[in-house]
Amino acid sequence: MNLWLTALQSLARNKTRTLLTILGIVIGVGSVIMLMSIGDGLKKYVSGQFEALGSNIVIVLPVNLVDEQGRPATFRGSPPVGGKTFSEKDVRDIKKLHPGIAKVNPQVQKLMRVKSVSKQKQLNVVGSIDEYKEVRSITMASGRFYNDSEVNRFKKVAVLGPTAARDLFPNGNYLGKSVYISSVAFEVIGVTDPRGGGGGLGGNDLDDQIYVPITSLQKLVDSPGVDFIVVKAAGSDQIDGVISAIKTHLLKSRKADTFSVVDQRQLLGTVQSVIGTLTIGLSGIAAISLVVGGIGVMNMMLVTVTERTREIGLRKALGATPRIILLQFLIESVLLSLTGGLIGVLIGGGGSLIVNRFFPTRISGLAIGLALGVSTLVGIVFGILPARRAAKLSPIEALRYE
Amino acid sequence: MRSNKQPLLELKDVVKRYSLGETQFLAVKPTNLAVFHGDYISIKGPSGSGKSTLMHLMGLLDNPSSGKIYLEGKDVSSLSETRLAKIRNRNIGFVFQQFNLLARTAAWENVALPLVYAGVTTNERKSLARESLKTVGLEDRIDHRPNQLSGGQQQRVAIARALVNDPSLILADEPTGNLDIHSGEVVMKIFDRLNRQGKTIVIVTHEEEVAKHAKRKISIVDGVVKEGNKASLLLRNKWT
Repeated sequence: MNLWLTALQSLARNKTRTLLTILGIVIGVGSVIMLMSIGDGLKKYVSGQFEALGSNIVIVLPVNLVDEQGRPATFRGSPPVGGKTFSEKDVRDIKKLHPGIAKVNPQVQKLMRVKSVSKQKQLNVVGSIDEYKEVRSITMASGRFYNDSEVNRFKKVAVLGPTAARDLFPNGNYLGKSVYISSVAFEVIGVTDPRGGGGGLGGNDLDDQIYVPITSLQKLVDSPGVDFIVVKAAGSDQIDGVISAIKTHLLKSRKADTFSVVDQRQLLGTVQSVIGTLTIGLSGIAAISLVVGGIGVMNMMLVTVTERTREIGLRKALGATPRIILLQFLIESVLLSLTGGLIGVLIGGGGSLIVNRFFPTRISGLAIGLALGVSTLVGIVFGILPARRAAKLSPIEALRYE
Repeated sequence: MRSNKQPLLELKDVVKRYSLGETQFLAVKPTNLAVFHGDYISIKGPSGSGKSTLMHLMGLLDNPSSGKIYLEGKDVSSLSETRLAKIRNRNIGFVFQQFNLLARTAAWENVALPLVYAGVTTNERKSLARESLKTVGLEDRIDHRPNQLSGGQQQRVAIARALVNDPSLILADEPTGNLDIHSGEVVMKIFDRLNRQGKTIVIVTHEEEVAKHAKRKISIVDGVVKEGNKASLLLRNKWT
């Protein structure tokens, strides 16, 4: 009804003061929206990466990722990739463990500087064997993937993702050309089709990678280790058997908390829950500024009630009931904090669009709804005290107020 | 002849007591007073005499400490604030010394304020406010804001506001107190005319010039109310 209009008019009357008052809420809502959009974007990106892995995949990592209860473990000792590695023998042993194991892909992955004649770029260099192509369902846009004999013979050949190919060879002429990884020349023999997988996260975009035989990469970095092993099970009903067989085998040579064997879904769940916890934690910290903003709103409303004591007295004399006065000021404070919330959503949304150019973000309707809901709540909670004070004023006292 | 009719507003043994720390102070001493339909009453008294308190009691802005107040025969002396607000809205029009118009708000919206609380629709409010402004001769100022109007015009807007809900009683507290002599005369002539048209008016003032417009004169000194006009049987104040 017309109370909303009255509230709007009274806020518009003191624009500077109104804007300064809602600043706390703007900042609070803005940062919550941004953090949530980064968290959501990250989750979506990670899911995309895992889907691109293909189906019926079991991953063997040389690090303890999940504790006995299935919760994310703290990374003690070695980092997920790069620390303690598996050996070629581990790979060979695993291959023979269980009839349900269809394929075993050892993988070495390094972030390295890659040059063409004219360009250079920081790229994720993936070393594996020829089966990698089938396990990851890679299709070729041109040329071919490296084969078994090239892996066995330490051949310096490379397959580029489409983004990497475009960036290193802007003129499009790359087959047979050389790329230099750590100053060692590799012959480009093919380019994959786009695989998607979200925006660029630290060069980990699936289209922005370079694939080389694992043997030549191990030689290049002068380390025989395998960073992780991707096992493809023959069918989804085999996954549990495969996991327990690998676990049993690895326990013979390693301690229980130095490796993990997880299927894709489990790993995805773990990573998602880590991101989720992190997002909630950070958003919670940002939400503290909402409380600060709410106190600002309360302060302003108390000042407003004092300033407008005579007006309140007049309205009461003319027939405004205490309830209507209460509503009038409550609506004003809700409008105040909701305006702050809306501006915060716009700023947070804009910010997350900018961040999206470097980092995957996703603005969910839930985040926006939550932000607006919380700012309305802030308006009610911090507006109730000033509004009650206004409603309780005696009309005579209020009219006499100078 | 008056006594046969039911009073519009009746105060029976009304007392208003304030406590100042330990001591109690009677702002209005036991008072009996009846206002009849069509009355034009002035309440005169020096400042501190209790006339404002009396006015607040008559305007149902305050409950009496003891005694009863009847509006059209109905006891309204101990109703809740909400009930009183609704009764004030329908039955009493206020005119204040300070005008008390909402700043930066058009004249017609000021006039329409009581209608907002009576739940009248926006369109109807505007046309009723226009009618009311016409009564006080300001039909060409409906969109003006208080700061674009002279003091006299502002007080006329306030009178239009007091009239807009067609109340049975108009209470004016020093309506000319903030006006120059000429504007004050204009305002008083409006009250005279409204009374001729049948409105019941009570004016609180300390100026004889204003009080003489009224047909019934009441004075109050130290909380004691006296009927000033000749002899009136209606006033049965025990202390007179």
